[in-house]
Amino acid sequence: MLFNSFEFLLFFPLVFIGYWLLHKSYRTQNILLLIASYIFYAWWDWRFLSLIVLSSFIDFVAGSKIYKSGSPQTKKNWLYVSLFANLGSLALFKYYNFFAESFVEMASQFGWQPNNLTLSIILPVGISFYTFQTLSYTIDIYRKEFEPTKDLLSFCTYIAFFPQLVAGPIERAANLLPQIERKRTLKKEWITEGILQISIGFFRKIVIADTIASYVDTVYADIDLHNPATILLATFFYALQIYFDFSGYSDIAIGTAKLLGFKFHKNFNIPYFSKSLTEFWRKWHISLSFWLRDYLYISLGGNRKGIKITYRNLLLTMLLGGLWHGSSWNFVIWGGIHGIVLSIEKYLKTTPFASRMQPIAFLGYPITFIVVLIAWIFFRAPDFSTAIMAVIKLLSFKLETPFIGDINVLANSILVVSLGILFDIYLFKTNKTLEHFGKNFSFVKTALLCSSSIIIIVLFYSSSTNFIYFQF
Amino acid sequence: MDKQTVKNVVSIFLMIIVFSYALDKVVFYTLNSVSDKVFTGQSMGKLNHFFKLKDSIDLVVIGSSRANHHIDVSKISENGFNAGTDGTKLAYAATLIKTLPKNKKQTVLLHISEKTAFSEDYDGEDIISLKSKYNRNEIIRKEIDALGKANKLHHIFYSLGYNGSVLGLLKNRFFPKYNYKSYDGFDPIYITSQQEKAFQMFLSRKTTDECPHSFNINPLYEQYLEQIKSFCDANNKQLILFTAPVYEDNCKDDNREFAKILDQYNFKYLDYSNLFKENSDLANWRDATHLSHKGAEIFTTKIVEDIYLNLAP
Repeated sequence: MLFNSFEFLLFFPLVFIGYWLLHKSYRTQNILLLIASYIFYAWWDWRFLSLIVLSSFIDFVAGSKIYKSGSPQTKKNWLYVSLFANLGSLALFKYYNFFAESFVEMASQFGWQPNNLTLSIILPVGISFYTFQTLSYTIDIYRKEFEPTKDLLSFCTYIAFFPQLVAGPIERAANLLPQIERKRTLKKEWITEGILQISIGFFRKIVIADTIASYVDTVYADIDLHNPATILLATFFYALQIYFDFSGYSDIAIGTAKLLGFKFHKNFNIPYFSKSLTEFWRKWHISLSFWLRDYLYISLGGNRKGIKITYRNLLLTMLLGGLWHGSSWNFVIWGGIHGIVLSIEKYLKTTPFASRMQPIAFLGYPITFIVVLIAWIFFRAPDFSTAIMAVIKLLSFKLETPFIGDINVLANSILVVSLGILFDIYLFKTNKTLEHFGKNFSFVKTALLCSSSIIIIVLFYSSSTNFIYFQF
Repeated sequence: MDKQTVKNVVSIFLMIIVFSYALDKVVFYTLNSVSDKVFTGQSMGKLNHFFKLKDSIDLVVIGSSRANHHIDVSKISENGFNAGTDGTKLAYAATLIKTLPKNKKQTVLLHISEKTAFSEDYDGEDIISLKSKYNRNEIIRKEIDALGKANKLHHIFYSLGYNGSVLGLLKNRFFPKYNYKSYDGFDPIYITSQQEKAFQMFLSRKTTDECPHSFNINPLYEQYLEQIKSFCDANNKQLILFTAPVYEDNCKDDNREFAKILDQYNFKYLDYSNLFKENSDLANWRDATHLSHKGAEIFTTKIVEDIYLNLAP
């Protein structure tokens, strides 16, 4: 089920009412949440529910065994069971065809023509998110940072909790499980915060992201046909599209969870207002970047094994982070660009160059944005040759009139993007976060703002497309 | 959940429902009053202009961009209007025809495409372009509802009719691009060098389209054709169907089959798909299916000739 669907408009109020009617027993609430979450997922394809159930069961058992076992080797074996189950399903459903195709292509370079090795399988929605979530549970227990739950119901609810099931935020067990295992209350300020965050999330997704998507899609469908100015504009729009699309999804998820009495961590924090790529990754898809840091970068040794190993770890983390997004070399290159620039930044910090540059540090904002923009070309282009063509065209620096397309669509795009950017500038200048934006608002003010958002959405929404991060 | 929280939740959700409902009506009636004064612009202005003139004109050209940009209506009638609108197909066109006055003698020149007629996927989605009139015109509301294309929330939020068109509406209200009183709906295309380049590039890599294996007319398309026919026969309208030229027609079978079907229904049908077969001058084209102003001039001359020589009643 999509947040931006008519079904969700009926689904959530029903769950909300039922959930709070059962407030006397949090366990009964959990049963309702679990059933609702499975319905939410099954709306897409009920057959893949079995995968979530199986994954939940394996990790529940593995977590418990790791905790109870006295022998380090047994602990390690159970961790391997969890890693194998989670990464195995990810490898099969998400990466098998990619590596099989790449292998066939490479073999053909040497004159060998193997048979078609690909399988006819579809990618289960949200698999990358919930496998990372379950992995963090067993790894945290293995590292003795978290005690496993004894309640299978709570654990299954944690994995399947519908606001974050299909596209995050990737909530750690340490944050979410304790909330699932205790009585929830609906604080007054959470009502206003939640409602406003959901309204703004919808505005970001179905007004801003979906409106600009049509221009981006038109241009990227045929890069060859368009001039550099058009490609630049489309890439700029894409940077905004993916931000408003994914942050919008996160806002709806966080706001929805808040109305059910759960507090998620924030997932975006005005990322394009960053003076360096390091800062960007502290503000962009925070739950993923922190996951990669804690479970991949640190597991590889982090920065504890000398400077060369640090750079290697950084690059490897970003390459794998890129691959997490999708099974294509373009995503690997995207991760590679980020990894290289992050390494350069790390190196520069160790030299006197960084302090000499301090007076013009503000230039970090546009430079970071340009790096992110270039990397987005690889992320958005359908294949490597298209991405390269786009980069070559951009490097020609020919400033011709960009393709306008439907003037109404472009005018709407510029208007809604401006509104989105102005709101972000407001948050940046006032040092506020969207999570607490509605904290001190009265109910009348909240209702008025929410109603205004609804009318703006009604007037400007663009026909709904899937959330970009659903494909990951 | 204590009583106070329940009260809080109920009150805020009630307020949101009441405020958004009221705000929607304020916005809807405000935009209606703005819209009523807008007669310029491709979508809403042109539609309003059509509604203003439809009871008095003798000839109306209806159809997609291939009607809008190709037929210089002034060459056919002094009292005509080209209501062709970009991106629209038969559902839109048929609905407009059904709003024409009963019993007034009028000629309807309707552009149709064999590609859409034989497409299995055509579901009348283009009727959505009339959504601004959903709560204001009974015929349009019935047609949109019959196709099930109304947004489920349109009965609550009337402003949905203005979705995506507010900026254009305001722009055309306060800064109209032309004087609508001297506008007959024909929008010739003056090609830019960029469009010319893009078309040349398109031609250099064009692949040949294959003919469909079977020629089964889309049931919805057929239903609309029947409805238009009976409306026009019953209401003193002379209906002429036509298909505008294409740069290169690789499949002629579909045109032939389509003409046969239309003949069975006794439609007057003019197929110009191959009008420029012998004339490959690129200056006549903007792209593979749209003529430049120069091409449109040649095409209009030809269609005028055919209408007066062959189809005049």
